[in-house]
Amino acid sequence: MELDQWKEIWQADTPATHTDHQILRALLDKKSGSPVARMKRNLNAELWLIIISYGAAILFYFFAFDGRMIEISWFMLMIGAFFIVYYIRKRKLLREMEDLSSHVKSNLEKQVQSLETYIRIYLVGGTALIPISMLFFGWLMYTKSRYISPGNIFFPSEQNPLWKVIAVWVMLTVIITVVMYFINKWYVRKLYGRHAEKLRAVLDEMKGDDQ
Amino acid sequence: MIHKVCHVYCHNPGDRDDLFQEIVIQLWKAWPGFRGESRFSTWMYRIALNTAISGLRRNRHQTVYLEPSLFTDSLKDESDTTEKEEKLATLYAAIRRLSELERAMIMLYLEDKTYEEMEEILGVNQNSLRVKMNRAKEKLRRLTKPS
Repeated sequence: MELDQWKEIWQADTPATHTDHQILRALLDKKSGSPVARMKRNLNAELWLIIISYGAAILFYFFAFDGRMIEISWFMLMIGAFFIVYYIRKRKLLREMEDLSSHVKSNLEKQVQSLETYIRIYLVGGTALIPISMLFFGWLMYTKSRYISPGNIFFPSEQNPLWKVIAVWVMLTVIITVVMYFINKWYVRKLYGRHAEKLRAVLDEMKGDDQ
Repeated sequence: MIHKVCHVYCHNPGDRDDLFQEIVIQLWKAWPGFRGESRFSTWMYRIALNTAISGLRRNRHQTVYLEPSLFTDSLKDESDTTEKEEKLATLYAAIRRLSELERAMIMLYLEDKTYEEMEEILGVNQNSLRVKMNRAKEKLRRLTKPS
């Protein structure tokens, strides 16, 4: 059968479309299952998790131990402020990705670029938090060790000179950061990486014969 | 048109229903931004194809009928026995074996769109489109040839 005959068969097929308002309403009431809508939901869940957990921890360290651990509250407040910046940046990217009215090629370019930036922010943000936290808690333990009974390698004491404690913290920080980097990389790839690769492949195909 | 996009991009009824819903949602959300700079059908094709191509479809290993299709009579069951529907099912099956871009191009070709309109929808220049289209048509010919 020739392609023109297939065309006739295709054009002869005119699905009957019902414009029942109730059906339309029901469709529009359902949650969108698009990747962007899911990412938005994940980001909002992340925001609530941070607000609740950080909020509780900030309040706790503000008042507990007679305020001797108030530095933890300030540190968490600072991390929380960074998270707000991270949230706004990600939210902006998702808003850009939501517009599907441009032609397919430029939409794909936008999707791939935004998704890759999104993944980079996720990876950098998630990994950078580890050394920053380790550094802070190392410093905290050093300055507050008089409140916590020392006796192990994590605290400077007569048996553990400062250089030894610092070396342990640095080693630990490097190991945990590297491990977390790979865990984050695996997780973000699992969430969005394959999708980005698929979009990149379609885009490459579109650009294939460009003159 | 939306039904046809769903059929071209999804094999099973569950995925088709999901994609149909998604396209309707995206059209609804995008409607306030439609300025009439392009034809309505071009705008609609863009949104439908962008949703289909950039959407993440689940790979269902079994056919799940979420609900009987409420929107169409002729596309609801590929096992309908009339000859015309069998041919249509063969055509859809062949198109689904093409790449995502080729599916979009072949669909626009079958809809009798000009290269100019295709360029407006896909954003690929006409010279490049002609080359790709020849390849896609050749593939479709091979795939629809009775063995």
